[in-house]
Amino acid sequence: MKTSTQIQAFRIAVSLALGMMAGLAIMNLLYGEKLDALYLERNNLYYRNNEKFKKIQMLEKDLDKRNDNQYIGQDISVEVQLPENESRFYQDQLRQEVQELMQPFVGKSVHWISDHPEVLDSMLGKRIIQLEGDQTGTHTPKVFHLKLKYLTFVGSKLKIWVIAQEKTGKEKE
Amino acid sequence: MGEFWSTAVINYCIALGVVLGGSMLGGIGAFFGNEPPMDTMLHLSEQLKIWALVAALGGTFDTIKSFEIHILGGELNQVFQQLAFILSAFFGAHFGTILIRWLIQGDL
Repeated sequence: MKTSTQIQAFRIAVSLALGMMAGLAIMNLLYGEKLDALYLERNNLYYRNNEKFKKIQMLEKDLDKRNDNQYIGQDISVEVQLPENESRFYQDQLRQEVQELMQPFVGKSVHWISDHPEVLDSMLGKRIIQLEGDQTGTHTPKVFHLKLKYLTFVGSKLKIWVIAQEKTGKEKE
Repeated sequence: MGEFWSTAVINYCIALGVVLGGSMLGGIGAFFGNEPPMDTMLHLSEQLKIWALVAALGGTFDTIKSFEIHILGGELNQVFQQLAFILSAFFGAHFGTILIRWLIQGDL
């Protein structure tokens, strides 16, 4: 047999539960519209994010395909930068020499070279080029050492900029 | 008020209560279940309409059985009474759906 106090406590608990439900229903009605708008916005953002993700994946795939198919062609462009007081006569000769040095890279993947530019740098950096003078005797034989300044790729075309500096007598020794 | 009218009003109110209460509490459930509450309420009000009718009439089987008994017994008056109860429950459920729609969409 339940006492009147127990019954009263039970009534209070039930009233509290009903009140909570009523409060929840009222709050739901008051803020439901805003919540719906937020859910809609969230779904829209999910959709747009997925679209962007798919696009990025597609572009990455395209980029990989392009990189894999590109190889360095024969037409390597070389720009030689000589010291200001140096004769331009040596420029073409140096360009030709550097182009010959670049021959092992012809047919290599552009992707591979752009990932490892230090190979080119170390190859040119330690190189000493000896040029012969012309027959008239205006230009004397000289020794240059090279330094890689820049390298770029225009499609599959490799273009490099090289700084050439004359090797002095002390350095030669 | 006669027994007929009181039963009709009770059926109307039960059906209305089932739709309104079911939708409101369903909306609360949707809120806790990470679903849009108003949209869920709108769908529930449509889905609960038929169940509100059934709940108000106390189960479809009894009503159909009484139809059979009264038609075969020649008591057409009773048959019309049963039809009126079904209609009142239907109007109650429909009014509940309309109320919920008005509450959410702002139009009828």
